[in-house]
Amino acid sequence: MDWTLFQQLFVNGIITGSRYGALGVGFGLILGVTGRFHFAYSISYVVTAYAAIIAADHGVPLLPALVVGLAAGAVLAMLIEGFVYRPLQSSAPTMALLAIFISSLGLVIVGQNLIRLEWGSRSKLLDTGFTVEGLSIGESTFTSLDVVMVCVLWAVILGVWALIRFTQPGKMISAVRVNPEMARVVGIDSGRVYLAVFAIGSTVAGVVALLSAMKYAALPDMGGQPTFLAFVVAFLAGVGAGPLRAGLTGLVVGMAESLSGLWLSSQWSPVVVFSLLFLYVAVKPLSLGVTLPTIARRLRTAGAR
Amino acid sequence: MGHEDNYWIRRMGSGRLTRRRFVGGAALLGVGGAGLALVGCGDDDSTSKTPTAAGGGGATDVSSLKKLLDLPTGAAAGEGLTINVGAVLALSESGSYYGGIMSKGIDLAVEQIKALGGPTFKITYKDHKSGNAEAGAAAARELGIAKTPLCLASYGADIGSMLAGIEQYKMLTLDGGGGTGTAFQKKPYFYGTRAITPDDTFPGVYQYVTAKLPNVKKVQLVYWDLPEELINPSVELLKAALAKNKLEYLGLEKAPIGTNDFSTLLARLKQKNADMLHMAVYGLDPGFLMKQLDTSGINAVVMGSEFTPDAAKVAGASYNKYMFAYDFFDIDAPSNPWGKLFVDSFKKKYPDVVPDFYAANFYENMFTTWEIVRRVIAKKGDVNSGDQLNAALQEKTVFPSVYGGDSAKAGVIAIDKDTHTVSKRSMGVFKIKDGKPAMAASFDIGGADFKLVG
Amino acid sequence: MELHLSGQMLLLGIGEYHLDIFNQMLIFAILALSLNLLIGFGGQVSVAHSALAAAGGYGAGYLSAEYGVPYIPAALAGVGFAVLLGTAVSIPALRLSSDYVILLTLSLSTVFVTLLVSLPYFGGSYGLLGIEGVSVFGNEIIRPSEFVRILLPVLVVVFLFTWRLGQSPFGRLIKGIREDEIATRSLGKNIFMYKVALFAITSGIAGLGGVCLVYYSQLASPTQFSFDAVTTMIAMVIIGGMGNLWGSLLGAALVIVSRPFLEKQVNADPEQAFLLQLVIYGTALVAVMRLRPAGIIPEGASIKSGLIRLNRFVTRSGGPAAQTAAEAADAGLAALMARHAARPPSRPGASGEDISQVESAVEVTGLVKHFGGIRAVDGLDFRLAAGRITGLVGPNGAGKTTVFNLITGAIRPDAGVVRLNGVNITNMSPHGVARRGMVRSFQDVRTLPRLTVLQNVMLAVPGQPGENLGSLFFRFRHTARVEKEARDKAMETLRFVGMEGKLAFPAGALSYGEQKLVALARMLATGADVLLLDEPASGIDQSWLDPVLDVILQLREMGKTICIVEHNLHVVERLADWVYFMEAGSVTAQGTMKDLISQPRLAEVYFGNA
Repeated sequence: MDWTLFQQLFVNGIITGSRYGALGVGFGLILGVTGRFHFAYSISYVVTAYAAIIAADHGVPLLPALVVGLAAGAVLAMLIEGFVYRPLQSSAPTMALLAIFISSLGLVIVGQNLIRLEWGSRSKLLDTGFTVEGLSIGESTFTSLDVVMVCVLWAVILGVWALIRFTQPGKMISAVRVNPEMARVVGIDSGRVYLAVFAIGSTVAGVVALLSAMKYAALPDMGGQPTFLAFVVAFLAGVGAGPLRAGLTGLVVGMAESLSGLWLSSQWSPVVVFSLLFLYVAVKPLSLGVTLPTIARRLRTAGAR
Repeated sequence: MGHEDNYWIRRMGSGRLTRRRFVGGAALLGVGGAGLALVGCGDDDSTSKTPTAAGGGGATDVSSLKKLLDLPTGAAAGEGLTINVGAVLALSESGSYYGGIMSKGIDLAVEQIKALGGPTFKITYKDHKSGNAEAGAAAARELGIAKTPLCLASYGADIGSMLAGIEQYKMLTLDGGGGTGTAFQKKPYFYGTRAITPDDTFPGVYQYVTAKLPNVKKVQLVYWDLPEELINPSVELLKAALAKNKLEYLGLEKAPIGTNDFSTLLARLKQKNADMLHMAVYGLDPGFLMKQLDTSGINAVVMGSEFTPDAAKVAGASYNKYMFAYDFFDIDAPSNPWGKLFVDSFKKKYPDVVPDFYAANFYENMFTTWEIVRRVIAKKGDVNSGDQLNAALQEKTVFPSVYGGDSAKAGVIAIDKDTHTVSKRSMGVFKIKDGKPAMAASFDIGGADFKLVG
Repeated sequence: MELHLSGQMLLLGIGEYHLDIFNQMLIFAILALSLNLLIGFGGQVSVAHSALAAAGGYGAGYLSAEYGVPYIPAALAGVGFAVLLGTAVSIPALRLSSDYVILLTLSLSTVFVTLLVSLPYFGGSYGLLGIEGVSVFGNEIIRPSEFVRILLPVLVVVFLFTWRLGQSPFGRLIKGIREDEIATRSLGKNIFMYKVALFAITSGIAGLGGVCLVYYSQLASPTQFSFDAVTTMIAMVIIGGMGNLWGSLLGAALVIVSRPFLEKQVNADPEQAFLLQLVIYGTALVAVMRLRPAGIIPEGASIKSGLIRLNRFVTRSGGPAAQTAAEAADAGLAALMARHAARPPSRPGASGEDISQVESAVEVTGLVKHFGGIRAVDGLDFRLAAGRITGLVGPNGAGKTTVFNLITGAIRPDAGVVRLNGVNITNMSPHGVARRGMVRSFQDVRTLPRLTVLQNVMLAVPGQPGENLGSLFFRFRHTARVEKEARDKAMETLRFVGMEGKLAFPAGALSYGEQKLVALARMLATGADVLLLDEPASGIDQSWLDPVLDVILQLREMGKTICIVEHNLHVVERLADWVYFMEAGSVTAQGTMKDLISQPRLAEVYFGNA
């Protein structure tokens, strides 16, 4: 085996895997707690990047601009939950899953094209605020931005984990995730919890978006592929899985995709990822315990109380 | 028994239909029905829009073109006629910038042609959604059904999807975006006005390399992941050009199309230890690739096949090491008076927009279309007949161009009667100086008229 | 002929342009109808539909472009490929909840389309361009007005086919799978086989749609079959109305016409026009979902029902019509109550019969089931005497429902033997057990909410040729006759439980108690001799209790063997001939209720330490 190539691909795998992990954590949180197929995740993603860039273009210093972006993405997600998903849920609980799915799609179309209308389809850049240098370990190269990225992403993943595990709001979120009826009985307002979860989930997506805008560029359709991957990683980790598990699953997926470059040219990577997914889903039910039917029924009614 | 809050009772059990719900439902149906009717109403032919003068700026005096392009006046120029032309561009999705800039070139030309005493060209814009085949096929079909005799296409007749409709409805089509490429040559009624990249650039590029880059001995080809039949001809031509210049061909690496992450590709390229990477990737891809290549530890000369300001923006400083070769329109140093007039009038009409080579291509294709129409008029033919227009083009496949030429004369583009791609088209090798392209060599098809510059 | 037709159409103001749009509607209607069958009727949320259309389109296209195969065999081959692919997709999907089916179909379709792009034979991202044209009797079909003469009949056939399927017992079974797989299975239906059949059929139709698309556009390209394509198809189904085939026609028409409609209406420069159109389209999607989440023509709606509702609205009802209906509904229950009042009270357990002399309908020996470290059932022996009511009682967590699951095949026992009328049914599938004559009810009732009461019960009637595709399409009279018999049988059982007045109500609209009665009727309709009732009395209003118990006693008189799991000991006392007491996974005592009550230890165990 070509060790040099392997080293480089391994390093690449860590970088992309961390991205996928964070995406999976955010999307998985939303999916696990609310049961919503929130494809409009991509809107929060792209809005965060654009808001930050536009703030920066207007002279706002970098860190506050990033905060502006994250806030914009989070607020938008909460608005979507409050004004689109929730009303759908209450007016049509049995149709909710698919109705929300289609509404999500509609929102993505609207959002993406509004951005194109307003700011065109040309790329927008986000300045990192520091000079990006090339670094290397052994034969593999990466940049200082990559290092920052990986650190920040895992800090975020661990942050979400800590939030859920140790803080009061986090425990409420857990309660709603595990047993919404019971949570309601003990007085937890799942409506507020849902909003919080959407905010957290899209903030995580926003972090990934900002880093992506720094490393590459911001484009109106930048949210599509990450949302797709987030969806895949969240399901692979298991709906309702914790942030750590989702993060590690993302890492594995990123690594698998990257290492497949040892044998296959890069056009085949999606095949590898989805074949893995397919095998996993096909094999999964054979070792299923009792938990899946419960989760499944909750999903079917889109987390209805 | 308290089941008012039971969804099924509300929906079907008691049948209570509130007024609001009824009105809402009726409104929806009404809108839908009206929509269907509205599509029905209005004649089939009026699917077009007259281009609105979106540019806030003023118009330029174009009278100098009369002499420069040897234009007639009056009926011979087509004055008073209204002619339908289709324009199938990327007007949504990722390539919508290109459709936008192309449409600006078209609108500018239409305005100037009218001012010069030509016909009113009525443009029907269609969106192929940045390469959606279904949209392209539908566009060609719709234009054909509306009996549009002329068309300007992009993306290589939207990756070939328009060709069936073009042939069926005999719609004479020029493609100034993707040209014919290797795949779509010799297709009836369809002509490309672009040099085939990278194929047509190889002779000129490797003459340049031999002259100015003596350290380059081993060349690696990096190509968009396209079907084998399309890549193989390029590979053969490259091998021939390299052999002729006594350079070594290392091999082919395929790049994923339209991605921003080239880490795997770069990892593989690093292994090859090439002196030069010849790239056939487009859009924003060269920008992302250069940016990542910069910190990858690869030390090779990069020769690309496209330059767009957007890719340059993405790449940032790393683009200063980028070189490229193709039929690039240098807006800072137009090579002939027509080119200069194009740049000036474009900037005047669209004050905040930078013209680029796609705008130039579609601008000049509109003039080419006009000349073809004039030829049919001269023969007292039917300007709406695709066959006659086609024959007029075939009659003399040489047209003036904003490319090439010199300080006194407009340049020339020539199309091959059989292959339908260009047989004469000014190209150049360019380096980047201070973020802007600077010509390093110029040459034509087959490496003809090779000249070092600067 | 050709000129005549075109002339007529021109007179109506319909030109090639409109027919072009109409043709696109026809093609997508084919896709939407099949997708509706799968998602709307069957509840299998699959996003593989565009990949299946791709299998059909590319299959036919490849044969045509590469080998010049004429269009009819190429089309058939394409449909065949689609069926194969769809069947392959369905196998792993069988054991998945319908939500993981999304993931499975997503991964499969992505792999498939990526393969189409990556493998050299299919033209890569350019696709196949040299598709042979279609020609009929030597005339080449090139214009929309010519294509419509092929596409319209094709759609009509597809519509009739899917309509027949949807309205038939097969369709009812599919809906049963959608509503509650486990309940449907427990009525004796092999849901796996039907799921596979559903996938296969809808995939074939999708393939046909793909073939039409490819021949119409004269190309096969990956962009025609992308994720965007399938989301558009799903939008058509949902907007039109899930579970309603007319809705799919409407949905396809609306979505297809929206593009040219917006193109004409939105007047802006080209740079903005198309983006603006998309913004409007997306907003419309969200708006429609918000206003009509069930779709414009929801399931169960039809012209007739629409007119009824219109009439009610206009006459500002509730009104006399509704009242009469409500009265009629309750009349059945009133009759049930009256029947109960007229009967002498009976008390089986007190008859003093020696139960050991009665033969066994069901014999369970040494049943064992561990879940991880928990021994849910630990060496259980019991039997159900034929024609008697046997009770199974015990504290919570003793494993009673698990026993039902084990003996009906819903869960596999780790050890033990179950015999039904002497036959070893230990590892039989749940539907097999049901067909052998043992059915069970569920603690959470599990009626099929969106099906009417009548449909719920008719589904249970065994031996319906209408569930068999061959009979459905080739033996109309036979199928219709048996269907009528099934209906009569269902009505009979509904009358027996007093629910015949509400036969047209969706089961989900009934109260809990009413649903329990419907579930009972359903069990009866299967014709099974052994009925396992899981908590038949729980959650029922006091005033209802006696009639319900009465029904159970009548069943016993009819010769049914009954086992009840119950917490309400008074109920057990009233009903049971023999009672088993279960503790921590095994039987620790048995006897008549009187015997067991007199054992203080059991009371302690049952109620917990005082």
